[in-house]
Amino acid sequence: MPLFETVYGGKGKLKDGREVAVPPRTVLQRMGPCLPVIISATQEHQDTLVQRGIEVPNPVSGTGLIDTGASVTTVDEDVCRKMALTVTSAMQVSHPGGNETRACYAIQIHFPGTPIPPLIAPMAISVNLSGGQPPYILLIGRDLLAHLRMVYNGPMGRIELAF
Amino acid sequence: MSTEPLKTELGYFEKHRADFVERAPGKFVLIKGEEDYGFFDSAENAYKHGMELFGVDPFLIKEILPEDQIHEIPAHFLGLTHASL
Repeated sequence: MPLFETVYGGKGKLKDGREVAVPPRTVLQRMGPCLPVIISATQEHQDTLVQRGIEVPNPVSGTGLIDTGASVTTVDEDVCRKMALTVTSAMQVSHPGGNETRACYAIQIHFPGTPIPPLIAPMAISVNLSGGQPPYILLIGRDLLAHLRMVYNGPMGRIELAF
Repeated sequence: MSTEPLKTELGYFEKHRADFVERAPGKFVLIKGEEDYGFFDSAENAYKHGMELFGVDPFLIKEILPEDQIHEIPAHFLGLTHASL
């Protein structure tokens, strides 16, 4: 399987305003395994819009978090709204107050700057992710991880994805 | 966001769930209106077929199980993705 790895890094500010490097392992621990993503309508959806003479919506760029605790992939509902996607299913999700039925949408996920091929999630659950820090647009759940092998290398502050 | 555009399809699925479970357990069914359009090994295949038949008009893809799976997204619903670090 081809391998992609990303090393995390960042800078913090001291009280006197000086910037200092933060070790990769600390960045990974704080941020979690996140990576840049671009979400678009699926190629089939785009082709249909073109055939009907309808403008294809612009893809949305942002940050995706690999969430091994999530059984399915979730996408920010504002992203679905902006791209005027068509609902494809409904799924039950649990939360502290009980269960809730959420609308699902077909999305295509691109990983810019990586050799990982675009992945299609035909039934990504829409939820409000906009309040996150950073503001995630995607939580990559175990349904998509079924296509990948991931190594969380905590000491080195990196993740390795084989696909 | 609302599942209202699929109200008819979801009703049809519930009405025929037991029959679907007998005929194609674990597969994905494609439904438009009050008609089903086949069983598929994956949601992606059902989606592609649905796009060929219906384009961007709403259609339903459902995994055929005796009862709906309840999915967990603890990081989101426990507010962990909203944590400020």
